[in-house]
Amino acid sequence: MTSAPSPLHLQAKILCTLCWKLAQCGAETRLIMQCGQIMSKALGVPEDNLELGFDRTGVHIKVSADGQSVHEYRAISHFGINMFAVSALYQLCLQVEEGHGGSLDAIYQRIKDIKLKTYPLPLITLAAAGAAACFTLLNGGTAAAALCATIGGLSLMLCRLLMLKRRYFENFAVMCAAFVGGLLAALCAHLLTLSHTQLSLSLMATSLLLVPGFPLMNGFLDIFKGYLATGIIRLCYGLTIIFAASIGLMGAILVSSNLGL
Amino acid sequence: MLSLIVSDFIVPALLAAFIGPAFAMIFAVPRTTLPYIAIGSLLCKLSRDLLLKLDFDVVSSAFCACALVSALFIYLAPKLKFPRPVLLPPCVICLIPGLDAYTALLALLQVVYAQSPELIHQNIITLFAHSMRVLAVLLAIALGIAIPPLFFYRYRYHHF
Repeated sequence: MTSAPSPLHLQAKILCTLCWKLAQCGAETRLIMQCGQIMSKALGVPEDNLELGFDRTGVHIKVSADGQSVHEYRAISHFGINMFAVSALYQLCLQVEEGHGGSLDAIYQRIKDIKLKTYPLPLITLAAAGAAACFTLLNGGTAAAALCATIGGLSLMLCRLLMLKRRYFENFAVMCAAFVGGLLAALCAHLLTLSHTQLSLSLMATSLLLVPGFPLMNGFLDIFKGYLATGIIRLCYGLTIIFAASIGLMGAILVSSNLGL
Repeated sequence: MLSLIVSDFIVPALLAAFIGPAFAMIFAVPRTTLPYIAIGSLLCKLSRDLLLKLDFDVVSSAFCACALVSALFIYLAPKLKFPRPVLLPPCVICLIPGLDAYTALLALLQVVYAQSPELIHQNIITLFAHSMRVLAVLLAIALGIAIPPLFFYRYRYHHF
């Protein structure tokens, strides 16, 4: 039979799990630190009794009170992106700060219960296809070029999501998605006898949704706010995604030109 | 005149208002924030196009448009109880210089397959010019987002 954890132990566990979940979902470093501080204040941990460390490898928490201290550590396996979970965790911190969190056990359970939610696959695919068409029109493309981008965007996003669902590496999934989307857009442009400029527009718009906006922006914000190590890692991650998309797109351009499309 | 305003400003802004939420959905941004992201994208695109019309260059106009949206969300995000970094990136995605990036990529490919030194030279110039423009616009977007909050938030930690 195991005894119930002490309040100090539970406080450390809550803070560590919160920061770890935020990091795993792709929150900016300052947001992770802020949430940790809001939560610790709400739990009644004085600022001097809390040590919060965060880097790419893991989250370290040390909470001390009355001569006792508890260490918690959780390793971060990857910086994923799920803004739903980031928002839910942030809102939970605000609720606890306002005194609506409940007991320590209840707060811990609520943090654990926050899952990664995503939109349904058909909805994301359709939204991506529509966005690709809008990108084409935004850059001066014709309706025919927008149609090619729609087909390209649809296949690109479908390929990316299905490959990620089957747990392929993200860079490889992005590369394949850019290749498939680009090739189908080029094929469609050939069938509709589009000019070279319109073909370029539809190919560009197809692959633009692979831009890793969140990692790039978070990386830049991290560097700007003094979290150099995590910022550089996030930027490198964003750049590898861009390189993977570029390789896929280059492959599509080469294959389509060799096929005479 | 009215048709010019519609075609030059209103239609691109409405297209941007669709792109922002669509991009946000890929990264699972909560549904309740999507209308705000649409408004942010619309304002971002509209302000950039207006600045371009006022003879600002593309880099400065991207910076100003992003700074405007960033400032707007400094006010809105606490009221909505959502973190700002969740709301901002989808709003500025319509300013990404995709065509320049694509042209640079094509130039890179043509450098590899060019037959004559003149063609290589020409493609290297194209590659460099467009890549620099992409980098400048991306830097302007990032700075436009990062700088406005610095006027409102301060460094929290004391050294000793």
